[in-house]
Amino acid sequence: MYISDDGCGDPRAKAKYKWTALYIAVSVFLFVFSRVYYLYSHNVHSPYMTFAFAVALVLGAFPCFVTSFLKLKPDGAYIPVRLYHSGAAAVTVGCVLRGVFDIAGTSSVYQGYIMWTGLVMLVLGTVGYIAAVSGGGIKK
Amino acid sequence: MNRKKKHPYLWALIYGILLTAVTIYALLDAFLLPHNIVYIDGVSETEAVSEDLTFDSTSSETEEDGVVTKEDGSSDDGTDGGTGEVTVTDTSYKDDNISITITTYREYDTDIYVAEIILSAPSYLKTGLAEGAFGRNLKAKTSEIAEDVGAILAINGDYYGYRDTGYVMRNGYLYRTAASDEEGAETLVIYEDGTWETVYEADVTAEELAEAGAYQIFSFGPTLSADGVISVDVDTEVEQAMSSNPRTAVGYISDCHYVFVVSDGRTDESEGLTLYELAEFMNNLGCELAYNLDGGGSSTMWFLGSVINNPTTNGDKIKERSVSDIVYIG
Repeated sequence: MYISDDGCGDPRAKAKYKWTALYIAVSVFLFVFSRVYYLYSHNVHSPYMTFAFAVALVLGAFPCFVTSFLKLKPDGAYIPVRLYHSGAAAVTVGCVLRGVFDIAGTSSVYQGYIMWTGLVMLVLGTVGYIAAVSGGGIKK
Repeated sequence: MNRKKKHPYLWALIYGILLTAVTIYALLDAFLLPHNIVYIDGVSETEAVSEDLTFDSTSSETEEDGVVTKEDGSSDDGTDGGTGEVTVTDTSYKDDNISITITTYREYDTDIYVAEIILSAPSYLKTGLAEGAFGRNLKAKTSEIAEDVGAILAINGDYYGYRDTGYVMRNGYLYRTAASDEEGAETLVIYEDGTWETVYEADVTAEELAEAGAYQIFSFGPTLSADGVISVDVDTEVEQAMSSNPRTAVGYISDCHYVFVVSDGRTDESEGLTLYELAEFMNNLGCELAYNLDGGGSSTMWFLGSVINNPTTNGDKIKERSVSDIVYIG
């Protein structure tokens, strides 16, 4: 699944929006999942489950699109980028888990651990990426 | 060779496995793995009922028009002067200390089972725990717990074991003192002297309630009605539940005069009740105080060996759900 802005088959163009497309696919999956889950939850709903798809969009698809559009690829961003993706995944999973628990009427401390770990990784990844962009060269 | 390009997805693979493992463990922790187990030494959860309820005792008994009356000369409350006579029908039980009458109502397109209870002492209202112990994810069917403790009548409780917070006191023993993390959580307190009260957990600690003479504390709610006034509005629901469901509730009418109420729901025969409909029903029964317990698939009423309602989780199968605790008479 690739989004190419010129459709010419340029490998760099194909890979450019790869992560954006992936996050959009995850968002679509979460949206469908939340609707199906609602059907089997006896009309019990949770905002965490309902809006989990938005987390993937806002934390994932949007920043990836922006960095791809601006053609940002700073030196030294390898680790911050992976931290950020890991954090986005953890926060999204944490939201879904929280939704499951809310709908079931239960809870688990581990859901909080996942969520907070994800948030920390998001922050570290963002800070590291900004530092790489502002401090070093950018490959375009 | 650039190590990144040699194993471009190694990090994703390892992290994905780790995140999946933690997620699975979180689900197991929440729904399956028993923990925080507390056993009470020296306190048996099984209390024999003096009257023989299996009808095969050597005591004399007569049966007339479907009513079995037994006389065995025993009384389990230590009081003098009891006749020891036990009268049992399919829908009632009566001895010197306990009178139970079960009536089935049909309202709101739902079958509602009401057990009216009159006791000689408040101590005959008790609670039982799955596997005779307190703990997260310790579960058993209401009927199984009722059989274990020798109950006459039992309903499901507040399913405390599904959560880590909310005050829990059973038969005078304080098991959990962590206040509920739900905003406005209301707790039902039954005191040793038989009085009932609902309090907000944010306003009082469990230890203070214990000091004040609490004997049973339930953490579910909400309060359905108090002093004859319905406490919920049409938009009030438990958590985010927005529809009719099977329900369980307890009500205080007067000193040692209570009702246990269980409704069916989620089936073609019975739609179920909203919280407001339940509150209205409890109020019409004459409850001075009515409190909502765990509903949905947990709602179960058991009487002398039989489940008398139709418990169901999804409406496609009538089947008891395993729960963590019961409220019973015995």
